[in-house]
Amino acid sequence: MSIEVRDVSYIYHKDTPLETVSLSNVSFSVESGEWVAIVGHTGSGKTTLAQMLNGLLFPSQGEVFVDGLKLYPKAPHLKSVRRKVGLAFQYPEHQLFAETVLEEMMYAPKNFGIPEEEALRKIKEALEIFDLDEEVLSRNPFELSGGQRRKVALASIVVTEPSYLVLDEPTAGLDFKGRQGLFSVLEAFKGRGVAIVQITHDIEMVLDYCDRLLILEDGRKKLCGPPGEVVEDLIDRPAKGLVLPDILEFALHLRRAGLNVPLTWREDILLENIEKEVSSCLS
Amino acid sequence: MPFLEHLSLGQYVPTQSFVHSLDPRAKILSAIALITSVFLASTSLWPYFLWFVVLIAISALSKLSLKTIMASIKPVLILIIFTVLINLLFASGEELFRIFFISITKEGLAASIKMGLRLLFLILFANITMMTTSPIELSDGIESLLSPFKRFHVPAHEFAMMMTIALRFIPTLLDETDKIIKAQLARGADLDSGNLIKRFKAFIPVLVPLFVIVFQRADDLAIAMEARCYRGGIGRSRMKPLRWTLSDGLYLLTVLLTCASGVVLDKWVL
Amino acid sequence: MDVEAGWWVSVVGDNGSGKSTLAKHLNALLLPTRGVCFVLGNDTKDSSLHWEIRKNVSMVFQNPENQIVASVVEEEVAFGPENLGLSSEEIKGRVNWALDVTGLAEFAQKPTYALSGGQKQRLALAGALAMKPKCIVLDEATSMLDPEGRRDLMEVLKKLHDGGMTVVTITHRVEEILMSDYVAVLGQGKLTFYGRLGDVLEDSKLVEFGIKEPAIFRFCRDLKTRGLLDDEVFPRAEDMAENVVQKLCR
Repeated sequence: MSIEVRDVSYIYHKDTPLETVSLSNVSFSVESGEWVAIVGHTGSGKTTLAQMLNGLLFPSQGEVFVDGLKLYPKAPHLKSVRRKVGLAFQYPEHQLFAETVLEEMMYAPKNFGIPEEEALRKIKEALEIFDLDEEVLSRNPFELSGGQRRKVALASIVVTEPSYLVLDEPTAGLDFKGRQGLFSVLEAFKGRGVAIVQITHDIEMVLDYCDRLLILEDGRKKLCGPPGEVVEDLIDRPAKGLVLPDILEFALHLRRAGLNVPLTWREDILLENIEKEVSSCLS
Repeated sequence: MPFLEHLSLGQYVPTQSFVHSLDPRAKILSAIALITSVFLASTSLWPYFLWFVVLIAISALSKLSLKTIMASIKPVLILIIFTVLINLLFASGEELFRIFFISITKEGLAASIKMGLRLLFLILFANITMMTTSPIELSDGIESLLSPFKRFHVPAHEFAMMMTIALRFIPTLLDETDKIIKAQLARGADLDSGNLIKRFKAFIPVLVPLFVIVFQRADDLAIAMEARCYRGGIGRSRMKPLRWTLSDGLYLLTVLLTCASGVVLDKWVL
Repeated sequence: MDVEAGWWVSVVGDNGSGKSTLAKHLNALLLPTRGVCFVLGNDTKDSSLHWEIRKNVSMVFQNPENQIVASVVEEEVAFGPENLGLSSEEIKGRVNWALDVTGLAEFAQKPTYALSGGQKQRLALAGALAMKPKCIVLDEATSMLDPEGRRDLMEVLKKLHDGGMTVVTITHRVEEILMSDYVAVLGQGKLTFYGRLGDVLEDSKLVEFGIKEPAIFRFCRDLKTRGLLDDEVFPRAEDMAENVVQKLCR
C-alpha cells in the first residue's frame, strides 16, 4: 500500500506565453504508516505536488498511483481515493462553513456516504485525538479561538479515517504550544498506521519527526532520503530558500574555523559533540 | 502560481507603450465612443471591418499582440455563444434550412452574426482599455470624469476607490475560490452533478467560507488603509496627477472621427 | 510600559494574549477603554491628533495580501504619501527611497499580485516607510513568510533600526526576539515581563514564556557560566561561532 509519484511534471498555462513549469520529473513514494516531509522554498512546487496526491490536480506528464489506482480526471475511483488521502490546505480553518461544529464534521462523512451512527462514533474519536471537548459539537465554529478552529478544521478532515494525511503548512500561524500540540496529534495518527505527508518550508521543524525528507528546488527533486542523509547533503549543497537549524550552522562555522566537530542532524548529539570538542580544545 | 490562470480577464498588462502612456480619460472616453458607435452602426455588417482596423491599430500602438487581446474574451465566450444561439434559433422569417424541428432563418442568421460581433467588440474595446490602463489610473480617470457631478452628491472619489480595490482583489479572490473549492472537493464534495437546486446546495460550503474571507479581508484592508492616514478623498494628492497632453487630444479626436465616420457611412451612405 | 525613541522592542505572548490589540493602540487604531496611551506626547484619545500619530507610527500587518491597495508596486507605495497630500515630486522621491531600502526597486512597475509572499510583505513595509515615520510597528508581519522572506524582512528592519528608527515587533519567533533590545511579554492581556533582552536570556525566561529556546543558546549560556564567553548576546550562529573561536584561540 503506497502513493507512487512517477516522473511527474506540471505546467501551468501550457502552450501560452505564460507557460510556467511548476514541477519537472519528480518521482517519489509514500509507504503506508510513513512520515514524509516535503520541504522547499516558496514556488518550489510543493503545494502543486500535494494537490496531485488526491486528484485535485493531474500531472501534465507522468503518473500518480494511490494504492495501485492511477489518478486521472473523472476517474471512477476518484472519490474513494479522496477518502483514502485526506488533504488539509494551509489555514484549513478558512474552509469552515457550517453553523455548528457537528455539522462541519458531518460534511465529509456525508459526502463519502458513511452512515450517521458510524460517523458520530468517528467524530467523537477525532475530537478525542485533537483534545477537544464534546461540548464543542454544538458550538458555532466561528466563535471558537483561532487554535481551536484549526483543530476543528483538521478533525473534520481526518474524521473519515484516511490512510494518508497530506498537510500543507499545518503549523502556520500557531504559537509554540499550538505547534507542539499539533505534532503530538500527528504522532498519534502515525501510531495508528496513518501515513503523514507534511509540506513545509521549515526544515528544522520536521527533522525530529519525519522518516524521510523530500527537498524540492524550482520544481525539481533535489534530495530525498532519511533526514540524516539529506541534511548531510544539504551541508555541501545548500537548497534555495532553506535555512539549516542554528546549531548545525554553528557547528559548521566551528568546523570552518578548524575545530573537529563531528556533524549529525540530531540536536542533542551535536551539542554534545561541540561541547566535547570545545572542552578538549581548552584543556 | 495559480494567479496566472486568470490573467485573461482583461487585467492590466504593464508595459511601456504609446497607449499605456495616454491619459486614462482619453482612453475611457475613446472606449465609450467606440462601444456606443458599435451599437449605433447596426444596419450593415461592413462597419465591423472598420472596428477591426481600429482594434489592430490600438493593438500595435499598445504593444499587446492581437492574440493576447483576443484571449481576453475567453471568460465571456460562453455568453457570446449563448447570445448567438438565442438569436439564431428564435428569429422568425424566411427559412434557409432545417435541422430536425429547428428552422434557421435568414433573418435569424443575420441577427445572430451581428449580435455576436457587437458583443465581441464591446468586450474587446472594454478589455483593451483595462489592459492598457492600471487600475489606479482607471479610477483616477473615472473620478476626474465624474467630478463635475460632485455637486449633485455623486460620490466620485468613493466610487473610484471602490473600483481600484475591486480590481486589485480580483486575482486574490479567484485564487481563494479555487482553494476553497479544492479543499471541499478533498472532503468528498460533489460540485458538478445533480439538478440545479442540488448543485446550488453543494456550493454553500464554498460560498460561506468565501464570504467570511471577503469580509475578513475587507476589515483588514480598512484598518491598513486607516493606518496609512487614509480619510477619503479630502486632502489627497497624487503621485502622477492626470495631465492632458496634445497626444491625448489627438488620440481621442482620431477615435471620435473614426467612430463618427463609421456611424455616418453605415446609416446614410451604404 | 514605555518605549523610548530608537529602541527595538519585541512583544511576545501566546495566541490570544493581546499582542495585536496592544500593537493597534500604538497608532490609535484602537483606543484604550481605561488608562491612557501617549504617542510622541499625543494622547491617542484625542481624535484630532490621530492624523499626526499615524504619520509618525506606521504599521505592517500579518497578512501581506490584505494590506495592499493598489495593483502596481509603485502606486501601492505612493498610497500613504498621497493621503498626506504631498507634492508629486515629494511622493516620487519617497517612493523611490522606500523601494530602495526594501530592495524592491526593480519591481516598481510590476503588478503587486506577481510578487512572492516575502516581497509583498516588504512592499507593505515600503508603503509604511514612505510615510517617513519615526516608529514602525510590525504585527506578526513574518508569520506567513518562508525563512528567506523572514530573513530579508528582518535585514531591512535591522538597517532601519541602525539608522535610528524605533521598532516594535509582535512575534513569537526566537530569531526575531534576539534582534531586539527590549522584550515585553504578555499573558492573558497582562504585561508579565518587560525588560532588557539580556535579562530574558540570562534566566532562561524564554522557556517560561512558552518560546522554544534554541539549542545554541543553552550551549552559549553554559559557556558563559563557565566563564568562557562575554556577556554579549549574539543572535546569529555565525557571530556566536566567531566569538567562541576567538575565545578558544586566546
